[in-house]
Amino acid sequence: MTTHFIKKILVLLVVLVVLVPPVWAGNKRIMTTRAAKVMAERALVESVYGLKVRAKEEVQDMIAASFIGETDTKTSATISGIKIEEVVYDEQKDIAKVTASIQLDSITNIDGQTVPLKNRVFRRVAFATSTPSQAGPLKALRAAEIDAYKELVKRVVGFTLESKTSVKNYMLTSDMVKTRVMATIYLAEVTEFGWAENGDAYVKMVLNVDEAGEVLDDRVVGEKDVIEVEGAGAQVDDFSAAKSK
Amino acid sequence: MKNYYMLGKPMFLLLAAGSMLGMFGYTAVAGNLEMVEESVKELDELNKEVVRQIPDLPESGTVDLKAKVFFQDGSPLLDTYEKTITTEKDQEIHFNQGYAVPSEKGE
Repeated sequence: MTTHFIKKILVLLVVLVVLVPPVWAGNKRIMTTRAAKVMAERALVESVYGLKVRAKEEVQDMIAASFIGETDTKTSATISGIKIEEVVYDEQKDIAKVTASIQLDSITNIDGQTVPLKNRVFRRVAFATSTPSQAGPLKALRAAEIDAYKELVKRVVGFTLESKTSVKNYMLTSDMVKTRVMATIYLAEVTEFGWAENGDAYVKMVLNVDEAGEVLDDRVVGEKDVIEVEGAGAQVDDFSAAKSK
Repeated sequence: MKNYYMLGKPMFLLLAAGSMLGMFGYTAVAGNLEMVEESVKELDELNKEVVRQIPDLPESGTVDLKAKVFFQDGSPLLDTYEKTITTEKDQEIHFNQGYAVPSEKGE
């Protein structure tokens, strides 16, 4: 009797182990998808409302090991009207890709200026994962995005340069070079992004000077109609590893 | 002999797998070192381009510069707001003669 009961329990356990896991799908998919939606919303806020960018680069004696490169971005806005157009979830990699868009007549941007958007559609794509081992390409993409913002700000408002240079028989040697930039940027659009074969990410970003000009006033100095920049981001920090050797 | 053979085969497979990883796996993910090196090169080129725009650049010396850099059609334009140029010359100094010191009062 007891043996029979144990057998029944064992069968039940086997059934539970084999059948139940597919039923318990878990919340990974939901969390990853939600994170990607938030990322897409942030990207749209950065594009339409704008963001603050603060960046510095510094190098001594042109030795790469002495290089310091930092870029901080910040934005915060309450925005409504964002549409999630597409959600793609890769179950194998636990990566979600979300495409979101917004169409507004006008917006009060990060500098408190009212920008006429004339119902133009702004669209951004974002990725997210709940699995840390899969985050590499996504981190690289965000790094490339931030790098592109920095490049765009430098082109739009310029930057401060501080340097010490040695001249010997009209030959120049840079002893120290520092650049600084702090500005707000809005209406930046991502036109292309992707990953190279080596895993490095790239983001191409444009700013239409004609459209932004009304708002940016005289800050855009003598540039062409469209400023296009490309940002790059890496998955692996081999620079810090090389520095510590 | 048989034991050596048994040990050799997995060893060979392990080495082959290692070589494959070395060939393909190692280059699969690049890092940021190359980007940093590129940025350093760009900073150097930009600084030299900017310093060359200084009209009274000495033959030898040092240039300390603080400037606002703007872009026009992709090329950097300089608006210098602080500049210290120190000239350096290799010349014999004599103690049996007088030297004039250039000053605004003396001019």
